[in-house]
Amino acid sequence: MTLIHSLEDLQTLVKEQPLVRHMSPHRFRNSSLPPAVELDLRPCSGILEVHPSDQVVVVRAGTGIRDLQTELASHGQGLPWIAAPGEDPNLDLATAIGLNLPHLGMATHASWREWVLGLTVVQPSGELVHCGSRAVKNVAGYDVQRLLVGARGTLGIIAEVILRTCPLKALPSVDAPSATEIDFIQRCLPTDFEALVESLGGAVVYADEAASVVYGVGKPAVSGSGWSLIAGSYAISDPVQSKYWQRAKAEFDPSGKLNPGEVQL
Amino acid sequence: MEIERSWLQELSQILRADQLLTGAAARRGYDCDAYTVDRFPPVAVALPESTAEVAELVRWCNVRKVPFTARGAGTGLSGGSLPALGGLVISTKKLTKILEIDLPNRQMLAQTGIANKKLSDAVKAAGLHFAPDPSSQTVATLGGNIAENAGGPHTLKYGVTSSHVVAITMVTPEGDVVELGSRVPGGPGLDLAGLVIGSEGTLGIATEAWVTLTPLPNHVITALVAFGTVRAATESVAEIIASGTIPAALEIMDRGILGALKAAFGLEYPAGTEALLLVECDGDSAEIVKAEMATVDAICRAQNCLNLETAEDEAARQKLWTARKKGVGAMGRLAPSIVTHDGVIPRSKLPEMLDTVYEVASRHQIGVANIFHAGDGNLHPCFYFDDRDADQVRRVVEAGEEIMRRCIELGGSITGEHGIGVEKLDLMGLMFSPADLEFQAQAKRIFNDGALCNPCKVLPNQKSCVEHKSRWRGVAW
Repeated sequence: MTLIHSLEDLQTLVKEQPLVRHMSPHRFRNSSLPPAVELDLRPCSGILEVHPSDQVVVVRAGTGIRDLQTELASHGQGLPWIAAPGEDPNLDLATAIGLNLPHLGMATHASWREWVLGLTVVQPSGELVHCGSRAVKNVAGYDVQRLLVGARGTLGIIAEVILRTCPLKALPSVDAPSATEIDFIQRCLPTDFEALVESLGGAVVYADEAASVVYGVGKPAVSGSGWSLIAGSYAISDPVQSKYWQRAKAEFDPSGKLNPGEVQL
Repeated sequence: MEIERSWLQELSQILRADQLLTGAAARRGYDCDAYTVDRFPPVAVALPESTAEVAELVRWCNVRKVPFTARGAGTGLSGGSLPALGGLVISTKKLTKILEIDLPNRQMLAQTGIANKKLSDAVKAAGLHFAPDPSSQTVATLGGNIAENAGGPHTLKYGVTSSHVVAITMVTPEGDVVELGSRVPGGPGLDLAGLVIGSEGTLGIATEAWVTLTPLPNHVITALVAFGTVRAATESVAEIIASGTIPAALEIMDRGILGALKAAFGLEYPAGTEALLLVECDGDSAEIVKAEMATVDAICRAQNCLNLETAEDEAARQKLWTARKKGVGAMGRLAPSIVTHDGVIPRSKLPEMLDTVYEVASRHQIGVANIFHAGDGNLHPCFYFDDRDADQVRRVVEAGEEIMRRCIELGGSITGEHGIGVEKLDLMGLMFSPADLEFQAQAKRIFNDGALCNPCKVLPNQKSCVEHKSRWRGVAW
């Protein structure tokens, strides 16, 4: 594991290496992956700018979420993020955003796709690019940042993030369940939720009824209206996702350098 | 470009005769949207009635190498539906059906040519609405909202279109029909719908969409506050946001707008009013809504407001909204043409930015009125002028660019909700480096690596657009 302390280090290493793995180890990443140079971005952390009156923070992507929340709280702000059962409370932003990781505040505050206003990204060539802006409302150009949230690090390396924050009094509050490791997260339409919970039976660790999300152990239900995130593997079944992910990969990372094997296309 | 006779014959295999508009009137009527500075006529306008017809038209355009541009109601403010290279305009005006209303899941499936407000009207009795509310919502279409990622006064609290559209049926630039997104949002994978929303019709033509429906709030209080200076109004906005209160709407109208409202509708406001601030607080708890409004009240009074009027019942509230809703229309009294800019700045910078707007307008000797989403930091300086006068047009464009540069210097954006279109193409380079723009071009090519689907929009210096630009650029060039 190579520790990354600065953007410059990251750019140089990425440029030189043929295969690069980044983002922290996480149970919702693929467990069997081909060899690659492993980069640990967590030393590349810290807040770059806080604008409490504009409800915006600019932060390095290696920053832990708990560290960020502590700092934001001193400015009367916070992220509407409530970690899922068993989640590392100080998970780094790059990993949470790369996986578009679900959380317990989803019912009222959606998720990373809504909060990420802009990104600084290192491309496979080592080049640094920016997308989005610090403005809370912005439609200039293509929202590449939305594409990178949930792209599992396959299209670029997220180095810095511009996030929308919330006043402390507007943050969601949930009686979070105890820290049990979970194997899957499954979401469905509200009308299917009762049946989903019933079919899962004892596999349910926490049922977030307001968001129609189940956090469970074992395997998710086979049928259902929505999606599931499963520990240890990520394969795409939707042919549209598969087709356009391949096209995206061909555009952003044609040599297949970034997070090889992370997504089975 | 004259439409070839063989083309008409081929198109008549796809559409009925009444679904195809040709001739001078159609060409003139569809040569621009509500951004009227730049114009170029299409060779024909198609009015498909189904996704399948749209797909057939797009495939035909690919075979014949005809550029095509989707168009909803034509209320866009940046030239997004201008057929920049001519070709075919594919109008969604006959795609107006609501296909399914799923009240238990608070979602609705509709064709994209339906007017925004009709979505809300259809579920009002169930206590729901479609939250994005652009000022043009009585006619602006769902498809146009998707293309531009439209906002509106209430998006301060409820979010823009991307927060309310979960799945899209789209005809790709090659003519394939794909389903993007999911009725169950927040999942893993690439957010393809999220990329398409706000892409200004350049990644395909959305024909149907699942939208989420938001409960109407149980309690609403609206306040209209008159200030003796614009700065007192903008500083009140910055203080309200900084207090942690997020009203449903925070809108400012300045003296230019009030003058137009007086001329058009005889509306009167307290003597000495330089700016009106409209604040709306809503929610399910009467107590919380009242407490929020008390905070607003205290801040505005500390800023020495001249008058503060509140209303809770629907009729009285709508009366307070009159100035905001009729403001832009009233400007028609001031001059033949209006260009509305759309810069965004961090909200804390509103006071100094408004000073800049007045200074720039004065230096360029152009009339300006401001009516805007203050809570989002989303400015709408409206320059009023005569677009038959080349010198005035040039001054309007130059003043606009100066204001946009300042927005970027302050950490903002050149557009908050109107889009780049053709209007702001030349300004993209102020906000993004060549490498950043290439990064966006990579994203575009995932769906569109050709030059037929709504060409010459969003990204500057596209192939075959630069030399063509002088043909659609306005009278000043």
